Amino acid sequence: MKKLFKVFLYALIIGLVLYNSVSISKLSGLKNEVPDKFDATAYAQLLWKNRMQGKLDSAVELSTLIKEVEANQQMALDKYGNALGIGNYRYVLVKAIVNVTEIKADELQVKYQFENKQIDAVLATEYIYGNAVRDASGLVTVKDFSNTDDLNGISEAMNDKIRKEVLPSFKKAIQKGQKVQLVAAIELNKAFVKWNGLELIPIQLEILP
Amino acid sequence: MQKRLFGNHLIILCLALLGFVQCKTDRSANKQHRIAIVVSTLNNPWFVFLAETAAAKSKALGYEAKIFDSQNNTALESDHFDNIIVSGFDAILFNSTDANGSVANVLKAKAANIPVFCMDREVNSVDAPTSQILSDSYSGAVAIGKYFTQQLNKKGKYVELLGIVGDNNTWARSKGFHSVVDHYPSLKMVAQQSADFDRNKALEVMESILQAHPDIDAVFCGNDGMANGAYQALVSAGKANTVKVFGFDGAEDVITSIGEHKITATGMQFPKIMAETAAVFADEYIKGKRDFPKKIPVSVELVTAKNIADYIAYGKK
Repeated sequence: MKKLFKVFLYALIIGLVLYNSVSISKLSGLKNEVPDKFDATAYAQLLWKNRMQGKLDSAVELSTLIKEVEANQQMALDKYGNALGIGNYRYVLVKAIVNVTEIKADELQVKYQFENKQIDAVLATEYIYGNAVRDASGLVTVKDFSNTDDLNGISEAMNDKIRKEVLPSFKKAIQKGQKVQLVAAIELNKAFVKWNGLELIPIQLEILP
Repeated sequence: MQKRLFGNHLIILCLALLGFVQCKTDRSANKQHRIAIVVSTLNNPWFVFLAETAAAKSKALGYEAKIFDSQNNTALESDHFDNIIVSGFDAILFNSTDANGSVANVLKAKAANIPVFCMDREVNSVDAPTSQILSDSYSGAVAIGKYFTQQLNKKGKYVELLGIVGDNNTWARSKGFHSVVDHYPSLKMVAQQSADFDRNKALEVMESILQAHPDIDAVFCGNDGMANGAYQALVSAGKANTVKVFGFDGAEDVITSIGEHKITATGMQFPKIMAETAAVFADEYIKGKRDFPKKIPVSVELVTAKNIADYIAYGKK
């Protein structure tokens, strides 16, 4: 009798230990608990659809930026520039009407005239990479993202959109001598701001009649 | 008589106790706060500059600063953290050896209420470090990738030398570079190998790769030390004039080499900005501030023969 009780007791203990050690749940339930991977493309699309146009509409006229930078560089860059991090680069959304002077394989040489001044700039049509568009738009802040890859993914998605949706039809249609109305992102190195040779990363392009 | 003697003893005891308490209070008020600077290696001039700048800024802010060299060894780094915690340092300016392997060390410091400010190298934890001040390696490598593609006219064979595989900068640089070059199918990567950010290892790896692929057009290296090693291998193979070498860091010898048209380009990091920002953050923390951005990217600038006049090693003129 005593032996039987002992066996029963051991079985009860083992059963209790096993019961508390193993938990069975549905695989589908577990799958739902895994945090969703950040979809940079969807996020960039959403930003573009809902908020980008507002930013493009408020872009500063390039001549205004030039004049204000020449008057007080720091104040002008604080007012119009954006950057996610620290360092010398500031990114600005600018609007301008430019004349196409030369069509090259990867870029257009353009002239920008205002008042009695003229600058020779480059309109990029091939190398749309990096963070210029994302940062100039001011739509993304570093505090909202703990993962640097996600931030870089947003830039890639925005650049991809420009390469695939903004540039192909423009590149087919553009001719030397035409005027283009544009909104572009520019990168300025505050240690040495140079206007001649300025690279314009296009976001919105319209060939004027 | 006995009562008076007892009273005298009591007064002396009280005075002694008061003196002791006063001394202790004075010592704690005058205690010089200490900042520890833990760097992955002092076997690379770039990290020496980072550590010395962090120490100099800490001293300028009124702290005692001590540099610890982890010799690229996470176990040694762990010992340093133990010593730092036991010795009662007030803050750690940290350049990690391994993005994952170093997290435990940062957590140890956090548990001991010592803030950790990462410089240049990221640790894979959002909450463990107080703040991370990191080079924007991805964007720097995007700029190099674009220049690389332009220099090669979108075609050719190339080699990529990676840094330490456990370091996030290795992959951020590689990803940034490939985010551009992979759009051009005529640019073919014939070999991709790690040389651990080490000049001598890069020399050996490059010599071996050149045996199998003598017809390459370019090499992209994840740091300047490896770029120097790769260049040395190309000199030995008589290919230094035909193969373009690209680095990353802005180290002194590579800046000189770009000026001499030996190395094509590098990404200039700013260790001074990172080290000084980390020291200022530590100072602010010690003085009571608690709200710090979790990560701050620091711009990386492309340096080529065209703009070399604007730069010196580790920064701008």
